[in-house]
Amino acid sequence: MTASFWNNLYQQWEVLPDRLGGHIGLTMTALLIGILISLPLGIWAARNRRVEQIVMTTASLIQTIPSLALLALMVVAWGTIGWGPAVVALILYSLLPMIRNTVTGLKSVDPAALEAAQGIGMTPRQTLWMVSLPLAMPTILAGIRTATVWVIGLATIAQPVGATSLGNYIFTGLATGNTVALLFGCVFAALLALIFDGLIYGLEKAAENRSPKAAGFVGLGIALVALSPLLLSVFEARPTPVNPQSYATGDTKPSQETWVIGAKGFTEQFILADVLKQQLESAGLKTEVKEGLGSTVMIEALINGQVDVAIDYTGTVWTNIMKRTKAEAGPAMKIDIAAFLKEKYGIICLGSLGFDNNYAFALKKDTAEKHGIKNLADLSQHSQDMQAGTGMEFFGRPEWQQVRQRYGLSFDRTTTMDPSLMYQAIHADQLDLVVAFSTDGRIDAYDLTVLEDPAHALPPYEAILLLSPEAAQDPTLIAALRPLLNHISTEAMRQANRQVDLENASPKQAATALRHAIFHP
Amino acid sequence: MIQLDNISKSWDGEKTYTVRDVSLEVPSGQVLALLGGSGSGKSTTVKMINRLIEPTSGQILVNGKNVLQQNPIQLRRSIGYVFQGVGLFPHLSVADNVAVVLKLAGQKPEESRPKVEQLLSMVHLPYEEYGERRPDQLSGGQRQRVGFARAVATDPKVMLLDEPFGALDPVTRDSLQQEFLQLQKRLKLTAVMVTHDMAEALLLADLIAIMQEGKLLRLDSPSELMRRPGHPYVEALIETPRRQANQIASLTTA
Repeated sequence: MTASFWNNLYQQWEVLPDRLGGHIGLTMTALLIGILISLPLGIWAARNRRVEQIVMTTASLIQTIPSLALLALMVVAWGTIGWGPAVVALILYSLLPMIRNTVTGLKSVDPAALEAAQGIGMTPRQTLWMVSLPLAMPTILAGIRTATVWVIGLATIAQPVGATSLGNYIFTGLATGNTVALLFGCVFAALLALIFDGLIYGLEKAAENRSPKAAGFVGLGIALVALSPLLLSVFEARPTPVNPQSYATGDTKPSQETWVIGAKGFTEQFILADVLKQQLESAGLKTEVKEGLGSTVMIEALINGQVDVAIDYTGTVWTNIMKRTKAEAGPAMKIDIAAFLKEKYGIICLGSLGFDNNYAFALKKDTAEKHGIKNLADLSQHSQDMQAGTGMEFFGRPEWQQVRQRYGLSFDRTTTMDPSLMYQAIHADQLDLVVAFSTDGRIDAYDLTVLEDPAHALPPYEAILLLSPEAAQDPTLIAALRPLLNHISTEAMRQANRQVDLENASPKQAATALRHAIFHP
Repeated sequence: MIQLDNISKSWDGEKTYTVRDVSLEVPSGQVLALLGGSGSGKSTTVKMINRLIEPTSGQILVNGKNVLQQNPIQLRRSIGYVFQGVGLFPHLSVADNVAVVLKLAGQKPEESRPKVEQLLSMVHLPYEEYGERRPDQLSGGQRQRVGFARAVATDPKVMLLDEPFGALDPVTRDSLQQEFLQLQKRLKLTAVMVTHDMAEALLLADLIAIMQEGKLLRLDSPSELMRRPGHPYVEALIETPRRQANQIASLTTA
């Protein structure tokens, strides 16, 4: 326990420079641009009542949009994932406090000072720069401080659109039940917010006391914190994983390209992303992992080349991307999918990994036995008295509509929650039924019975390896990935998932073990 | 020389007037006190001279030039202005408060430094001791001295003062009034000073203009006003300082 705790902690520490750097880069960029927008707007609004109304209403309105929704909107508006939409969303959020304080600060400048400025012959512009802005500065800085703390907190939710931040700790920690990672993310995000809060407060005081020297010191502090991820990574001196063999043989030129591996936001995907990463890096290729992507976001990212390699599931592509309702037999379906992705988007389906990850309707074993429920058809007799829960977006998906119509199911109540909580809930009889993934190791561990789907309402979910058009051109990459095809069994995948979800292993450790099982059976 | 010809100011399309048909003349090197109660139009009148307020009708000449035909910014820079509430910038040091008008005139900090030192020593606030202080670290009298130094920094020929001694205690007020008179004589300033204190007007001004409800009631020298007030309101204004002077005189003779 203790050893694995320290090991876990060390693993979190190792990725800190990257995530802290991402977080600081994201927030600082958003704040700088936010300031460049807010100050002129605030100055304009302070002089013109009508502009003030429009600007303040708009900024307040933006503030009322839930942050995750705003982030998703930005992805739709920009048609791209990653850093860009995250920065834009954060900028939009930072505007209100900064504009409001600029307006308040300028409006509360002592009228005597303004009269003096006019009386000694300052132009309106000189009055603004030499009198109004300096006198309003403490108030303006207080607004920037508020915005900074907000933005640092909000940047943690940038992970689902593929921007790296301290939020990666929180999301992956939640998804894999890793409390250490979760706390790591929370503590560092809070620390960062506290430090910036203190530093900008110092700047405020320096402005109040008109002390340029103090302001200089604080500025230095801000620069130091902003550069801290760089310092951290220097101290760590991490070795870059390079396989000397691939250089030595000279037959494959190491590509300068960084291949981006995409992953959705659950344990299996984290493990597989690490398997792909290890495969590519052992072939001397450079990689980057974007975790926690939504299903549609990931396909779009593959289309426009923001993600190069990803694992998806046939059923998901079938229903969500191709919008098909009637399932076909496995092989025919896979051929249809491969043809569709290639023709429509240029995405190449390299092949199957060898396991299925289907939706699994699971009951506690004694409940199933008591009511004699063996399959989904039996369930329809009892479903109206049952509370159902799921850890993913299942109840919003077309698959659920199909199952419901086919078997005439309707639950008393449906809830979506964190997967690890879902298992605890059914264990404590707060839920009667859960919808899980069939490769989830916790189904066995919690002694649940998976119901059969005799009418084949649910399509199969074979794991398939997808490549962006660009990645499909690289023979080194394809050669590195090919050995994985048809080599991961459902049992092996379930085993790997169990290690992370129940045995406190990191996705990286599970991935290493899985690769070992593949290549040294 | 400052000359006002039939100056009027109306804020409501000439239905009512804050200032109505005021004409007066301040010869070069002399001090005119504009005296009246609140709402008499005295502050409005002085602010029209440097166009902080635009007259509705009439004409104003400063040193023979029509101010309405000049750029208001340039005009204000050429006229020293001392404010009611002192009007120092709270975020600037004493030295910078003086230097700011030189900066507006296009001087660089290193050029203006000797002039700032000279101005501050002229108002008895040596640069070494006071230059780096900020206005809130000075007494009221010291602040107003900085205000004077700033007003004369660009060597103006004309100076406007809007209740410059209003917020000071009596002792400070007296010494500052004397300093002002010396400064005005030395720099040969033509000045218009707004005040509501008859005693101050009598002691400092060469000419006193008394205003009531926007109109000019009397314009005369202090001694002439004392001899022939000519109007019940003027009489009332003079009465207070005269009675006080007599009472004090009787105390010393008794």
